[in-house]
This record gives sequence, structure tokens and C-alpha cells, in this order.
Amino acid sequence: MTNECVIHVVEDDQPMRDSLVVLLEEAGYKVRAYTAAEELLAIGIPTEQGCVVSDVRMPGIDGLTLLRRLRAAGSALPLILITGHGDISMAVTAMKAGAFDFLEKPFEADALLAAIEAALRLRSSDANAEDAETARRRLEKLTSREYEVLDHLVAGKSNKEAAAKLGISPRTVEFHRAHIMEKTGAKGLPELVRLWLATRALP
Amino acid sequence: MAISTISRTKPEVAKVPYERSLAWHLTTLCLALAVPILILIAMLTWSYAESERERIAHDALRTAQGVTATLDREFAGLIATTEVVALSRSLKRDDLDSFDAEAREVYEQIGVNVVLRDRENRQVVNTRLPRGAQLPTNVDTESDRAVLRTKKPVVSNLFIGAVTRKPMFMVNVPVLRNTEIIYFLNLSLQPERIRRVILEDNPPAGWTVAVTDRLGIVVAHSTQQEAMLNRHLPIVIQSEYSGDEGIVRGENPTGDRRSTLTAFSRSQLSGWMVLVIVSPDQIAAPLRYALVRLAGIGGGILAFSAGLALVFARRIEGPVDAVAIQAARLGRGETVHPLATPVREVNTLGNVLSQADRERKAVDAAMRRGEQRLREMQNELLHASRISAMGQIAAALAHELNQPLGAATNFLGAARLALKADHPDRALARIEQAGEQTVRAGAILGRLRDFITGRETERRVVSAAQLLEDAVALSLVGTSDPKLQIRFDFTPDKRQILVDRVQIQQVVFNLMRNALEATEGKTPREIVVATRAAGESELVISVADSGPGLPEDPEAVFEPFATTKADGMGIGLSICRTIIEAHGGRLWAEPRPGGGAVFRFTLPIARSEETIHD
Repeated sequence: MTNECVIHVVEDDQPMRDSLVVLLEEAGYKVRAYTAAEELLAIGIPTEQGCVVSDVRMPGIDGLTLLRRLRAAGSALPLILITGHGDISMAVTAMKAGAFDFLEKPFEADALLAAIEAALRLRSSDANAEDAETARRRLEKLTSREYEVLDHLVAGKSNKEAAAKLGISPRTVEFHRAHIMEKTGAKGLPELVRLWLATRALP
Repeated sequence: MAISTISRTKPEVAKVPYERSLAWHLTTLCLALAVPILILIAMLTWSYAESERERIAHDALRTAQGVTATLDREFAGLIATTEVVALSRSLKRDDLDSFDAEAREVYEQIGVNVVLRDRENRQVVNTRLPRGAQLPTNVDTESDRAVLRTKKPVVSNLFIGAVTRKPMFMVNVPVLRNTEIIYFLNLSLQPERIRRVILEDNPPAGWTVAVTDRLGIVVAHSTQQEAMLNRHLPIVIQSEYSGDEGIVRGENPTGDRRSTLTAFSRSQLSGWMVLVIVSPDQIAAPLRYALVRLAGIGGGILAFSAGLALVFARRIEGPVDAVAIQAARLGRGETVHPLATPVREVNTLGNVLSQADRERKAVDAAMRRGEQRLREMQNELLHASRISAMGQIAAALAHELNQPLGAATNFLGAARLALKADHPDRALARIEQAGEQTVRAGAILGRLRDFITGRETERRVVSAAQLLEDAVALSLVGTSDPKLQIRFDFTPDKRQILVDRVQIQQVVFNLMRNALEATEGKTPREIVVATRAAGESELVISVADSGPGLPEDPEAVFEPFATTKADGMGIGLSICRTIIEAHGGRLWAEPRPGGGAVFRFTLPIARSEETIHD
């Protein structure tokens, strides 16, 4: 928690943006707020230490595009995405594209602060490498059917879509999903996606 | 239900060039039936007239025969008398003086002149002249020749008496001695005697009886026409009266040459001829009578036929009119009663109409039930549609709700950190901010609740502007496009409408969602919601967008289940129209000038007594 760290908040909804700013400032961070991704990119690629907290869904450049632009510009700033409910496919894509983490609204303030702390502490590429072995171990308990379900879920498919693809009922998918969560110890879909991505990173 | 308009005007009927009344047709039928009867009657009448004429001819002949017999009897008597006189002894002795005395006795007793002539045709006795007077020579020698030839009595032709210089005839009897004729004994007679004979037989009135001698000279005539007496019958006619008896049709031989019928009979004793001439009037009478009777009967039959036809026509027209009335009632949708007329076919027709009426009522009832069912289904569909829309906006709302909820969480998190850092004033500000966000979340939920629980169906007077603003706000949930321009263009006066608020909001919501979807990604992205008063009673509400516009036939978008949307139910606009029409309005679509579509609908403006002053 060094003072040189700057948290860039990109959020189009004003109350949400204000609340993020006051929360992070109260937590002792230096905060810069932007109403759109374009504003951040217009200022230039931030050089100082820190991370970006961005909404996924925004008019104009969305969170995912912002991530791609930053990476394209050579910035390795960790990016935490805030998503609405049901934006799993976008979240999965974002993770694959190199986002550090994503949080589903509404989230607890501590969860955000923890994610920021983790982002500031670790380089995102290392995180994946370090977790790869653990992730493999957590996933190897799954049956082949559960693997199939997992593949669909991390591909951003809904329960219903996955059920249709696999030729089983949505309730069975839910059942498998609960089992997957139980076996891997994942608290939610984002963690599951992270685990899955970690195993992909393995040679 | 659409009640068919009742046409009071006469229905258009194809022009029939020979349209006639029932009475006319029936009369024609009766007259046609009467024609053979009339022909039969004419034939019967004609044959009756013929037989009547035959009968008259026959009667005439019988009369002629009767007169002839009487004449013959007369002649026989005269001949007998003459023969008795001829047997006189004094004559046999040639004692002419004695015979003259006897003859004068005969003359005095029976009133006929007795003339005796010798073979040289010299009169030797003539009772008309005194004895000893110079006696004339007789001019008629024709009968003498006949007597000489036959040696039998002969009745002479008419001749002019030598003494009287008047027409007369005689019975000429030979006086024989040793089969030799020595004298001619004559009884000379007046034609008047023959007339008396004729009249004795009382010929029927209008008939003429004439007697001619062998030469065809008229001796007597029943009507005493002097002009005809002592004249010859025309030669041409005489030739037709050959034979002993017969009937001749042709000119009246003795009279005015009018067409008539003459029966004749020849006397065997004298060779004289009796003619019975029937008057032309009498000949024509039967025919005239027949014609009159034919005309009378024919006229009667025709009149009777026509009358009968009219009676039957009236008898049929009544029931036909009754059927027409029932048919008209059927047309007007009134109850059709079965008919009880004297015509069975008409009653059958009436029953068919009555049956049709019952069936139509059954169909109407079925249709009403169907419409009722349709309305129920529409209501169900409406509800389903609302639920479906609810599902769609619930997802949007969940996202929307996350914003204030997330913000509130963040504010509270900040407050907690501030308290930890012992800055209660800052914490208080954050808590207040969190509170604002929960209120914002509450407002979003309130709108949803209104939308979902809006089950009220009663109509209320509401402000059009307020209703539209609410509905538009609801439709914009989950939409955050800075380029999107929503513009309201309301009439300046506060218009109030009598509507079911939720249903109309549903319509506006649907139109707005359609407009939002149509303009997705378009630049400029503009939606204009406007109200305009149309007259005193209607408000026109329009939702115009800058989207791709409408299909060629704008009505196609109102077809149920017609959709261009991947995830739409395709029921929205169809339901919207149902709702608007249920409010007595219309909903239609038209191209927007400059691109895009305009959906317009009308709603009744609340009358002043319905207006609630708030």
C-alpha cells in the first residue's frame, strides 16, 4: 500500500463511480476517476504503479476493449473488471485476454479491496503460473461428464445452453455444477474460470 | 359483433324484360285452358246450327209434302166430281140441253163453272154463260193433248179464261163412248181456290208456300204477293226443281233473291209443284243464335277463368307476401315465425326460413361465444405478454438495481473505513450517500411493482403526459446510451384521458421497446413521443423513431406472431392494437418523413365532467 500506487476507476454510472472513489480513498489509495474508457486512453498510458478498476458494460469503449487497448499499448497494468449479472461470457473472454480478476455486482467492499491488494502485489502472469499446479490438482477430481459441463460453463454458456448442447436437462447441469463447485472448492464462477484458465496455461 | 347494416333500399334486381304479376300468369293459364273448351263449344255450336238448318230443311220438305198431299186430295175430289158429272145419262145420249141443266145445278151447288167441249174444242156447254149464248173457243189445248194421250183426267196449267179474261185452271176429264173421247168435261177453277188450300195447312210463320203449274207459273202464293202471281219462275231455277221432291239452297225463287232454302214437292195427280220457301232470316237464325250463344258462353268462360285466376292469384299472393315479410325479417335479423297459409309449399318455405333463422341465431350465439372466448384468450395473452415483458425487464432491472446497490455497498464500505480511521463526520456523509442509493433502488423496484401488479381493469381519468412519461421511463430501464435522444412533444394544455392506465402503459412500453430495438446502433438514435389533439374528443399519441422503417405493408407488423426479432414473441403489436381498440381508439403505423417509423394511436379525451381536478 504505497502512496505511489494509483487506482484508475472507469465507471459511467455516477453514483457508482463516486462510491468507488470514496471507498478507495477511504482505504488510502490515490484514485483517479474516469466516466469513460476513452478518457483514460486519452490521458495516455499510466506509467506509475497501480491498477485499473473498470465496469465491463459501458457505452463506447467497453471494459474488454479497454483491456485490449492497454495490452496493445504495452501496458501491463492489472485490470479488475466489474460485471453485471449474466455477463459471464464477457468475463470469461476478459480473463482469457489477461484481466487480473472480475467481480460480479453487487460485491462487498472488502472483496474489491482484497482484489486490488492482490493485483498490486502480484504480477498477473506470475499468478497464473503459480496457481497452475494447484488448479490442476483441484480439477482432477472431476468426472469426464463434469469436465464437459465445466468446458461449457467457462465458455460463457448458460445452464440452459449447456444442457441443450449436452443433451441433458438444465436441472442436471445445475446438479453437475454444484458438484463441480463442491469438488474444486471454488466460491463462484469467476474462481472456476480462473482455475480452468490456469490449467490451460500448463504445458 | 358486427351487425350487418339493414338495407332499406330495394335490393338491386336483374331487370327481367317480361316481368308479370302472378295474376297475369294465372289468367294466361286459365285462358289457355279455356281455348280448347271454346273450340269444342264452337264446334258443337256449329254442328248444332247445321243440324238446325237440316231440321228446318226437313220441316220445309215435310210441309211441302203435306201441302202437296192436300192439293192432291183437292184435285182428286175435283176429278171425282167431274167424273161423276161425266157419267150423266143425258151426256151419253148427247142430250146437251139436259146436261146443261144438270151442269148448271152443279155450278149452283158447288160453285164451279162447268164447261163441256167437243173434240173440235168448241164449247158446247158453259155454265158461266146463259144457255144459247155464243160460246168462246178455249185457248188451252195442252191439257187436251194430255187427255187425248192418256184418256185420263188432267189438271191443266194456268190459263186466261176466255170469258172472265182472268187466270184460271181447270180439271179436264174425257167423256168416253166405247173408249173413244167424245167430249172434254172441264171444271174451271180460280187460283184463289188453291190459295185457300195452301192456307188450310197453316204454314209456319215466316214461311212462304207457293204452288206452280207444270210450266212453272206461280198459281198461288201464301203471302198473296200479286207481283209474283202468274209469273214464271226464273228458267235457271226451274231446272233445279227436277224430280218429285227436294231441297234447293240458293236464291229465293219467288221473291227478293236473297239466299234462302226452298223445299219442293211435285203433285203426282197434276204435275204441279209446291214450293216451301223458308225466309232468309229463319235460315240465318240458328247460326246467329249459335254465334250469340258461342259469344255468350265464350265470354262467360273467359270471364269466369279470369275471375278464377284473380281469386287464386289473390289466394297465392297473400301467402307469398307473408313469405316475403318473413324473409325480410330474416334479413333484418328479426324472429321469423313459421307460416300457416292455405298453400303447403309456401308453408314449407316459411318453415325453411324459420329454420334458417334458428340456425342463424345458433351461429350468432356460437360466434358470440367464440368472441367471448377470443376476448378471454386475448386477456390471457395480454397477461402472458406482460409476464414475458416482465421477464425481460426483470433482467434489465436486476442490472439496473445492481448500480445503486453496488454504490450503496461501496459507500457503506467507505463509511466503515472512515469510522475505523475515527472520522465519524466522513462516515456519516458516506452513510447518507448509501441511503440515497437505496432510495434509488427502491424507486426502480416501485416502477416494476406498478408494472407487474397493475391488474386493475377499470378506467380512470389520467393525465396523458404523466402516463407517457412513466411508461417511457419504465421502457428505458437498462438502456444507457449517451447518443440516445428521447424527446417529448406534448400539447401545451393538460390533456386527460379516460383509460386503463396499466394497459395503455403497456402499449407505450411495447412501442418504446420496439423503437429502442429498431434504433439500436443507429446514428442519430432519436425517439420522439408526442401528443396531438384531434378534434374535441380524441388525442393522438405517437412514438416516432429513427430506425430502419417499416415493411412495404405497414399493416404486416400488426399480424400476430409476425416478428423480425430473434427473441420476440411477436405478439406485442397485435396485443397493443387490441388494447387500443378496446379503448375505442385506433393504432396504426406509417413511415416517418426522413426515415424511420411512426406508430400512432388515438384515445378518447376525458369529457369535462369526467376530469378530476387535482
